[in-house]
Amino acid sequence: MLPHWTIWLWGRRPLVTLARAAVFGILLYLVGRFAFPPVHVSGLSMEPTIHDGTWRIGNKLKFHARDPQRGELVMVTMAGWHAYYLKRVLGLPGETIAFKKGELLINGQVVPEPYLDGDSGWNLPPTRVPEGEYFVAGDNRAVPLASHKAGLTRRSDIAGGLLW
Amino acid sequence: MVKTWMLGLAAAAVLLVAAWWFFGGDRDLRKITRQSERLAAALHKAPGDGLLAMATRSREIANFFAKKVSLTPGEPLPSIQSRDEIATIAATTLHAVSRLEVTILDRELNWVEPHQKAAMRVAVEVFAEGHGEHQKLLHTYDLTWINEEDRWVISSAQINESIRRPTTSGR
Repeated sequence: MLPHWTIWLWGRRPLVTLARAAVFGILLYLVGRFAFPPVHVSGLSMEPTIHDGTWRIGNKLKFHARDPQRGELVMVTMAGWHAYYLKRVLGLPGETIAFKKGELLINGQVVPEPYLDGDSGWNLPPTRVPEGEYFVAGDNRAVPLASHKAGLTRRSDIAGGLLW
Repeated sequence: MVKTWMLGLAAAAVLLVAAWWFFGGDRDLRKITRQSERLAAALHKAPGDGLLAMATRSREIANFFAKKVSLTPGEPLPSIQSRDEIATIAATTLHAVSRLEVTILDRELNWVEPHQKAAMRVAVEVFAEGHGEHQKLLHTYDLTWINEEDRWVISSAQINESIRRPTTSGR
């Protein structure tokens, strides 16, 4: 007869419990690796929408069946599968994007950005977004464009979006 | 009823899997990974580090690279073609900042020629502080590692950003 604490720890059939724990661990790894990775936010690039040091859940399945749309948050590949840039899609393939005194212009038309906090002084001459690429930027426009990681990224480098 | 030996067998299997996870795989790839971590550690400067320590550190940094080397680290640094240039630029950079930290966020490592040449894509976070200002930068580099005189060293490195700046921009 197994002692009471052993039953509490391992259950009545320890091997079955061990197998269940192993299967659960493998499932957790696969879900985190290929579908919904936990994302630790580092940096001020997405302020005020997403704060430095917070945790979010990524969604690598989000853009399997469709392409990202303007305004959506995307995870852009860096190297491997542990770290990603977190950015917002501003320009779609084939569009012409520009910034004039902080205002976003797509094909010459002003596009409102309700997620921003305050004005930015960003200026960017009209730039065509090539086919198969997107123009992405962070929400923190207090940082000058020259110091901000913003620009063109390939569709294949967009690894997913955010679940939460 | 589960016998004790069955529990022991299950525990041994779990330990074997754990051991394989930590110590298994390709020894050379592990050596390269460790070298990259040592290089990141060498690119560290604390506020109190003296000139002599920095001179030693810059030579140590240069020794992570092959005799024939080609580096394109990206703006504002120029292209580099020799170990001596690396040592000079490392010394200048370490002298210019009061604090420097390089952290490897992620890496992807594959053989180009098994046990002779490997390609590594590495994402790094660089934190630099100097003249009362600090800056945190994220960069991705493509590194080529070669086996030179039984040591793994970098023969080429170039910046490879998945987010490319448009040709013209400004504030």
